[in-house]
Amino acid sequence: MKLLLWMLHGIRRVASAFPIATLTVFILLAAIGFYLMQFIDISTDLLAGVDDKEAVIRLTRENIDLFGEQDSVILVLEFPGPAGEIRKPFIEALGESLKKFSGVRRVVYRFLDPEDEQQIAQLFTHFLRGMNQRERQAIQGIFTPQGMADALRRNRNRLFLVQNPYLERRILEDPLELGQFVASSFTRRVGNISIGDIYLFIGSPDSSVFLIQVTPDFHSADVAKSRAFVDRLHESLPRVIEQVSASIEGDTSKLKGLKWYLTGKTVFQHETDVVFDHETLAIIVVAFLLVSGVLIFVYRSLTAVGILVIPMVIADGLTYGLVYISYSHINPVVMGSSAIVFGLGTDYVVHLWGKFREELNRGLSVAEAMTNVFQQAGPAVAMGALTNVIAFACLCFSDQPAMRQFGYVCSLGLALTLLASLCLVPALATLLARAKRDYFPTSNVRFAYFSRLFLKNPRLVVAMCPVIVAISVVFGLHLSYEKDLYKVFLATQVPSMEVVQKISQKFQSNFAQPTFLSFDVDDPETGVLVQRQIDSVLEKLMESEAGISTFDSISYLTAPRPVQEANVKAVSSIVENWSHLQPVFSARLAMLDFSQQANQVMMDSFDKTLRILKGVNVLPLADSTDGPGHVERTWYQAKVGNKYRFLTKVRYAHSVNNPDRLMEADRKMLKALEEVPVPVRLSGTRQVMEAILGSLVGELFRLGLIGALAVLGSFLLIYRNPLATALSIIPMAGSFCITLGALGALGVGIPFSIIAVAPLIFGLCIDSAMHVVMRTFDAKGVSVEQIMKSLTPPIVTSTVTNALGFLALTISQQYSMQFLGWALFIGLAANLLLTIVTLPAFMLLLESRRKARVALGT
Amino acid sequence: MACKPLQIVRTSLLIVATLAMAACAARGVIESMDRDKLIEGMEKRAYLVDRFRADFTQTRRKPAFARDLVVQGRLVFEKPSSFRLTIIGDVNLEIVSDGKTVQVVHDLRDQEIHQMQGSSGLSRLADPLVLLLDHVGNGGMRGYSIVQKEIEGESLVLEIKPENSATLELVQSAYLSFSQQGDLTKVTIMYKDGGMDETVFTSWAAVASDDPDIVLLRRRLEGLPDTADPAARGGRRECASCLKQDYFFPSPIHEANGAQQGAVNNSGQRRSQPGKNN
Repeated sequence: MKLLLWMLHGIRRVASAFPIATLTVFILLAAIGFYLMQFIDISTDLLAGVDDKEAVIRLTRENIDLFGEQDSVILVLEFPGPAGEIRKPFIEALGESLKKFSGVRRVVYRFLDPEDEQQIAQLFTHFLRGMNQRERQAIQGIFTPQGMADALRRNRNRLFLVQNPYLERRILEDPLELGQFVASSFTRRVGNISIGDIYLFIGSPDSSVFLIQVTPDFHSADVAKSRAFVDRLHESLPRVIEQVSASIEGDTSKLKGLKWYLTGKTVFQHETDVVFDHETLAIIVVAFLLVSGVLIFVYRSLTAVGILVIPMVIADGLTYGLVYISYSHINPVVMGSSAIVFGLGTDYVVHLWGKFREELNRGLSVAEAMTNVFQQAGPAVAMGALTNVIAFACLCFSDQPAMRQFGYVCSLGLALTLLASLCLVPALATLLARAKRDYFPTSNVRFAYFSRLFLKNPRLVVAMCPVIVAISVVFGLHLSYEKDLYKVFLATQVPSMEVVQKISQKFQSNFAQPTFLSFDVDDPETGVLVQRQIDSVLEKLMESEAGISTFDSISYLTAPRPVQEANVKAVSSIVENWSHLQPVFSARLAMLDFSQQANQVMMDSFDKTLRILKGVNVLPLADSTDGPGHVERTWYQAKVGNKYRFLTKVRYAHSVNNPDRLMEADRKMLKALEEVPVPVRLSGTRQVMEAILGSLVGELFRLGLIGALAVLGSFLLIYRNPLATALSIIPMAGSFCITLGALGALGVGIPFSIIAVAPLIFGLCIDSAMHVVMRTFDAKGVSVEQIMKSLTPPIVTSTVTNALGFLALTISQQYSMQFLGWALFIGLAANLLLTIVTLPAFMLLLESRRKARVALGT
Repeated sequence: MACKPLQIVRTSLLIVATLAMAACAARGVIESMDRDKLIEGMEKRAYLVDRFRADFTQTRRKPAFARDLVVQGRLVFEKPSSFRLTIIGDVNLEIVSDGKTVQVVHDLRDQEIHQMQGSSGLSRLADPLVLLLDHVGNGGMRGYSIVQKEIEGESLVLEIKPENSATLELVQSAYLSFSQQGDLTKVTIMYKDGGMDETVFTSWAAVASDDPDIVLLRRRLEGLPDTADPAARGGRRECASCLKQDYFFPSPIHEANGAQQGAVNNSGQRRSQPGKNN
């Protein structure tokens, strides 16, 4: 304590002796800091500060690097009604145009092009090589006289019903229903969406909404690239759509009233980023107005307010300078630290100037008054700042690098604010003393009512305190993390989220939250075998109530070697028997009423089928890493070191959309996949969010405990008064419990910003408590009432200023920010009552006891 | 790649359902040939009728066939979205749906089961009343332009062009024949690809809930597999229960009264051209 006082007076003496030099040095350093601010590299990667110790986070990152962030941009085309025939040339042309955009890795707008003979032949070849036993038997049944007769009969019925020339041609080109058979096996891949469109576009069942899925060649967390890409799309798409509309033939009148939207993860983040940018200024302005309003109301002088904020502004500049020196790039969250530093710094200067005015009012000179300020209020301010620094430094124990960075910058900023306040308040006082007028900040608000509240019924106040805390603890135990992940991580009312809800309803599939399954094997052959097992499990789950809508894997592109060999053998026997089948087919065809033209198309298709079947035999057995469809395989299979990773994309049904059902669906799927011989792991954006949020409660209590112990330990170590230390806990612990209790009672889910709540409440609350406790214990012969009369104005002013500053966060569209704003507002409101009512009541009772004991001793 | 049977079903249902509803609503407004009153009548009847049965004879000419194919058909419908469409003749088919699942039975032999989306356009198209209401409600029907009114023998013929209807965009024009009593007796649809459909209505009736056709519809609906059944996803299987005597028409089908009216002659040419005087 003596050392602390010696240091404080040393600072005072130097600052008072060289006020201009002190001010100049600080202003220069701050100017350098503000100048360097522009060179601070704010990371564009939102995940830059997200810990990858969590397996699911690491896996998701790896999978995104390996396979791209699939469908992270979706162009939604909404026609006013069924799109009609014009959709075909329009969507094709638009999809192809998108492929030419820079930054695009992959564009998917249809499951398959039915008119691309090469693509169809390739698909058939893959299918015929990869058939399972049941499919093999079915194919063998198709290529029998009876099978052919039945297929022709059914196709004749279908042709009677259909009027669409395109569909007629498709029927005629598939006389043996081979295509239908392949298509039905693909139903599992495309699920409910498969009935959407006859051209196999990704269309809604009512043919009014079509999707073009874009996989960019960058990570959606890369805000800069995402922003540039989405902005470019927004800017270019109207022109591209117009050009495409003008270039295609057909009835383009149906394109009138066409609406298009962008959605997907990249767009969510882009929109959130834009909201963040816009609202940051709004929050700062509102906070500034609220805080200034309070200060102007209290001090009734703009000059006084200016004098008050000078140390904080300078400290902000210094902080930026040190941030530039300390980090090559920082997480965007860290930039919010300046507001916190500003708010807490207010506390220091309000107390210093408040005490200074009090001493002046006693008739002391400026120098004498400042000496008393540093003697009496200085230690409390320094101890309060020290505890704040320690509280934020505890964030450096967080598992999240972003939080560690945040903690470091805040604690550094607070230390600099303390230094600036201690140096600049005496320097400014010395300079202002030379002026003819009294420019020293003076509180012009009477706080007599508040300062005497604790006198009304101190026993009741003290008795109520544990009751309220106990009730709060009970409610606080009900707190859990917010399960609506997009609410936590994205801004509310993001238009692209509304779009995704709309298309999820249209497509009966949950588009917003795909889940990825991946596994690693030593060789691709084993991988393909395992993938088949996974497919089989997923198919069973699709048939049960598990809620899987679709899944997509490499299995449609390749098959295990033994399976291929068996299929090649089966197809060979069909080819060998072809000379017997052809006359039967011709004869059956002649018996039906088809026109000559239709007969010819069917005969040609029949011959084409033979070529496909022969192609299955002629092609060498494809190894899993080569052969046709190599590009497509890279979407599902990649090499990781010495291993091969296989990816399966699963979409749940639209009904599986709430957090509990999604988690339950994940759990069921993983349980079902336990029978697979290799470990299958889940990954995806949702799982990453869950992993981050899932650790929050534990992280909160861990950091809270470390913070509390560190703050109290340091206070105890320096002040060496256990009773004072215990008393100073009351507002801090009480307001923390009340905050959590209030949030628990309101059923609020906690977002990641909760981690900042504990150190902020501890730091803000103990600061005021220390002033009360230290002044009471140090000022011998001064009553609690007198001390509270002196301390209530700065405590109320600084607490209200801070509370309103944080209240400004509630206008944010980001749930995490809103939460932080409300939590701290509640915490500071509780702290104010606990500091000016409960704590003095305790002190008063202790004083009464002491007096009684002294009287008894006497 | 294969076409999808459900999409085959939709067009047929669309036409038949539209015709069936037109048949039940036209009475009383024929004198004025007022399109709006006609639609109004349809709308009223659509709300009032819970279940109905319509018998018809349909002739279809298509480039894919060497001759015109003729079938007799019956549509039995019960609100909210259950129906059974049966056609017999040159083509034998039964289509049954409860609004969620569609079952197509080919030639009393093999059946295909398909799922429908609950609120999808597909079910809307497959649901005659909803389809009609949809058209009326969104002004679609009113968008049809009536290009000609003619008197042909004892019938009044109305030629319409549904050019603003996206669901009927392949239709060149349609001819609606009304009796003097205002009953819709025949509809001829000319397609842009040269195809032609001619449907002659032989009867239309609102039916009671214990009508044999309704009873059969419900029985058939009970036989539909659960939509969660894996087989309900595009599978095809033999229809073991189909070969029953009263399978298609439990109540006697009304023979087309002058069913060949406007139908094809042996040379495959139409005897009379709706909307044009012979």
